[in-house]
Amino acid sequence: MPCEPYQDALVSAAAGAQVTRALRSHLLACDACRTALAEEQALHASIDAGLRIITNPAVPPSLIPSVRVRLQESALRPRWTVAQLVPAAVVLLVVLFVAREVHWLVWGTSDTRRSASVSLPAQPGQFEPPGRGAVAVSPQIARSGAEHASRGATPLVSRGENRPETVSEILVPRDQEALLADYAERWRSHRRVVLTAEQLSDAPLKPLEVAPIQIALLDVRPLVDADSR
Amino acid sequence: MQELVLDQPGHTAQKEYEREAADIASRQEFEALLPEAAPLAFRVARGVLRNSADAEDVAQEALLQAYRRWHRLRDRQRFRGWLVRIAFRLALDRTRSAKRREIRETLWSQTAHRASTEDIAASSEFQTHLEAALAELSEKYRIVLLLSAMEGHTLEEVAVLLSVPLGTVKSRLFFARKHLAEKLRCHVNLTKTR
Repeated sequence: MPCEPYQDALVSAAAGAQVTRALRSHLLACDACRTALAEEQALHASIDAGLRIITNPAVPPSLIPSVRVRLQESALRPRWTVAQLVPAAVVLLVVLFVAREVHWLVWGTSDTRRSASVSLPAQPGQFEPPGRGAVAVSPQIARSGAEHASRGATPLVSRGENRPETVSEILVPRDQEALLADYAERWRSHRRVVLTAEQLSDAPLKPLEVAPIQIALLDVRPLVDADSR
Repeated sequence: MQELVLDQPGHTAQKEYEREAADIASRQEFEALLPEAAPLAFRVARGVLRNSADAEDVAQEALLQAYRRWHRLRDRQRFRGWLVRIAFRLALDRTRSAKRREIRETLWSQTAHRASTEDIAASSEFQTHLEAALAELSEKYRIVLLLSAMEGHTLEEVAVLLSVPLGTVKSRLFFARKHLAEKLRCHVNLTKTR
């Protein structure tokens, strides 16, 4: 068992640290510490020998030929250069664009905004081409129009020959035509050129102010008195 | 007056030819380094992986990666250090993925690994403990220990390979050896008492 004050110094000395003069003089006098140092040095010698076995194994003879073959393969493989990549990317973009347009022409549903938008006339019976001055109605409104149509209402906007076939129809009751046209006119005067479904979220709509529907007074007639029969 | 240079039809072919010639020259230069570089990559990988077959795979991969980035290396004197780092990193990655795989797989499939003759020869009890203790060391201490234990590497060369000062190499080596001794002392004592 080595002396307590020299224990760390012995371990460090065996690991490669410089032996101090105090330790050297102590080792001359102390057998136990000399033995402990020798054991510690033997341990380090074993570690070094073990490390040499680990780090100096025989290199497999197949290593270099295999690397040469793989280098050859990687050299034969075609490489993309910038000069080739740029035209390839341009061609890919053109193909994608053409495919998108063809899809739109054939199916007419490539752009949801186009299919959901509809133009309303400024005056009843007067139609404008879509574009500046047109009011696009959101899909929700378009859906409500479809519900009107299912109840037997007449169409306010009919798709003429000059209209693209991608625009849906809105059917409104005949007595609501004027009101809806007025609403469209008011939107136009507010310079809201296009109101799309996307714009609904950031531009809150005022509720549609519709005048109460005038219903003619009902002609109430008493039923034929059952008692009189 | 503006000078116009027309791209002649043979010009592109000439460029292509020059590029291919440069590629071939570059590959030949790289292949000339293989007899020295391949063992270095293999030994670094073997020191981490403790398995010759895996180490060979990693060495091949490291050399291929080095070749792919060969044109980026301006100072060719640093090639060895660069390769050491690539091989060490790849070997560590493989160790981690092997550990994950070991966790995933069931016990019966773990017998699939077959140790080579060399592995068996080196797998004495002390050696096993030494390798385990080495694997516990942090990366920066482990690489210093491995490189300094490799034949033909002085501490100055290790410092050059790792691009760190000589003093750093010495202090890391001292710490690593001390740590290994602490881990292995009990095993030596056990062996003595038997």
